[in-house]
Amino acid sequence: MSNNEVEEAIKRIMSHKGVVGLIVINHEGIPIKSTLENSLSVQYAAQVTQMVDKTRSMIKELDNNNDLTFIRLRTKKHEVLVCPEKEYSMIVIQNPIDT
Amino acid sequence: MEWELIRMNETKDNDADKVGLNIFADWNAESASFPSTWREKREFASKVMQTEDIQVHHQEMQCEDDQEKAVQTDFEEINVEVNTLQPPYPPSLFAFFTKVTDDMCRALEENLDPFSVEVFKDSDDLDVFASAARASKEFILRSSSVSSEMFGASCVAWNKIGTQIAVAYCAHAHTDWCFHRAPISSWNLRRMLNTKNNPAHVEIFLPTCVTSMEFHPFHPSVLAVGTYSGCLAILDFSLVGDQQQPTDAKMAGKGTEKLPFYPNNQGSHFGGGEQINDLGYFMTRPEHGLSVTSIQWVKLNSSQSRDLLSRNENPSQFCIITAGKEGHICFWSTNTSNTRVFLERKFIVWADNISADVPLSLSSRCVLKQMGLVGLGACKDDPYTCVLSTAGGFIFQANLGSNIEAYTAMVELKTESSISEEKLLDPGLVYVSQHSDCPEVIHCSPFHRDVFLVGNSNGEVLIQNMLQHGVMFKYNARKYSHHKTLHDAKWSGRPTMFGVVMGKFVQIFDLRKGQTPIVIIPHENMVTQIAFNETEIGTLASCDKEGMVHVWNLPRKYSSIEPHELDVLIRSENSNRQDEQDEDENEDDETLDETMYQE
Repeated sequence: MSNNEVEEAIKRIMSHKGVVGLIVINHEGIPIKSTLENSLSVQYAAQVTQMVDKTRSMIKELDNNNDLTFIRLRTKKHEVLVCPEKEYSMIVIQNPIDT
Repeated sequence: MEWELIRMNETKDNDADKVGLNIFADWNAESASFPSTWREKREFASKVMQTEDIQVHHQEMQCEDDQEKAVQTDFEEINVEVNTLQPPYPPSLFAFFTKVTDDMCRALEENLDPFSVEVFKDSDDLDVFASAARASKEFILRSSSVSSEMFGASCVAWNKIGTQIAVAYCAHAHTDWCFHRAPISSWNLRRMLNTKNNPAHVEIFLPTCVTSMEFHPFHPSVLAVGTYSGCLAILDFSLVGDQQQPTDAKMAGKGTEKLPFYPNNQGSHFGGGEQINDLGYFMTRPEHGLSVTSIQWVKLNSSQSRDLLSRNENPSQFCIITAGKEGHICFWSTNTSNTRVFLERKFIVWADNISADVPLSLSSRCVLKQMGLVGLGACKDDPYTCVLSTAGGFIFQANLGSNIEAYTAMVELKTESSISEEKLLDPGLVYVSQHSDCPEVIHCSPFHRDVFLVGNSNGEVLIQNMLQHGVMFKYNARKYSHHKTLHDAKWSGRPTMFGVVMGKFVQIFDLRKGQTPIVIIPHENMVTQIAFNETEIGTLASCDKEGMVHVWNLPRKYSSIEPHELDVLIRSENSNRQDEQDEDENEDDETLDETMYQE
């Protein structure tokens, strides 16, 4: 994958109907790539990092052989999709009512 | 000398002397050497001393509660800058995107399923006002003869071809008798020039306020009206033009000097027929002691006419049923030209004729006996059957073909207004249900002969079947309105759609669309009544307490009957019937078990 392909991947995700924004955070919870404004990106990154850690520890507690792969958080207004990996995590906000 | 000193030393045991003599040793003797105690090399030596075995203890303490608390000392503004990565990206980022992009896209595409939007709908949220569709206002109508300070619009009705709308007015307050001069205003929508400020095309003034009305099923200009004083009036707008409007009676107000009251009060008590006068109406004597709460036209076939009508020599197939607040039901016939009306039958809703199983109050059973009627709904295709609602929350089915007298002819019936020896019939009441609150409105479905709608004053709307116990559908219109009193509820021109008036909002529900209203129409003033246009299904009219009439158009998707829409009522009816059969079977089984046990 080249540098252009990273941008293309971001564009591909953003082109889906109802997608409001995309944030990529590193393992420290710091946003490194975002289509939203800074303050909102930082808020999402901080909250999602805590949520991912808590969720992962919950899953491990229940079954040590299990692990977290994806989070879909549905709210009244939109859906927050989180794909956590070891070094980075991706957060996407989508408003399905717009679809 | 030296040899002698040494011999002397050998013979003596005194070491001191020996030492002293060593001083005088031979200087030529070899020197003694001793190894140096100074270290020549650097050496390390490590030694360990083990006393006892080393033991390791791991201990954990489980606390009951774990709380994370932040301690804020000094407020600091944290300015975090997002250091957006710029190319060239690290290889780990490439790997990350390669791995997650497809999964993320798949998850996003799942939300494109239109049914997924249903998850986001919360019926308990007041945001239903934002999600409900809106109606567009077509016209605002207002009579110039009515002062909003004195009168409000009480009734609104469409004629059967949907071209004419009539509005009746009623004073805001009545002390005892009604001496108000109130108009019934009519507009022909095909002649409307403006959307606002449209004066009435025809107005007919009556000497009393109007409480209920309905257009003739066949003649588009004939209107039957029930009044506050208990009279029935028949109006014919085709006979009234602008030139016939009496100049003295152009404004609504008090006083009846200028208007004829009971213009042709001829014949016996049960009438020889009243006739329409030059003012375009005629009015009967007050057969009802109190206001007329409901009025309905019904259609008879020839055999039904022979059974029910006896006083009219030339009866029309269309008759009128009126219900009065005092508990009387009147059955009227008309002639074919709608210029005369005859009172054919009069019924009384009387506690003595109601089964003892019905939980009437003690005062109704022993003291008052007459039961105030709040609403009446005539059954579709069956003029003998109607459904009544009373002030005690009771719903009864009545049979207007009954010939049984309510009480012996010799008993005098004392009412608040008169003592009369009338022949009053018993309508053969069958108990249907009792509601927790007063059923303000009752309306039979135009599409199903047994289904009717009841609107309770607390905002509950129930869809019931006359032949079945229980409730088919139940709605709570109070959830979507800040006002707590229901004023009106009506079926629309579609089998599953009905409208409810709660305060300043008109809510339209669809039996197939769940508990939330599909359309909400806000108003500036309190709404008193609504009427759906039977020809233009998506059009309805609403009238308010300020005397304004609003004509609305619903969104196009609600303006036509969809295929199999009536099946909803039929399926629900069958489902209720099946539930009742199951309950009966269970009761029979329990009875059988008890019998066997006793044996």
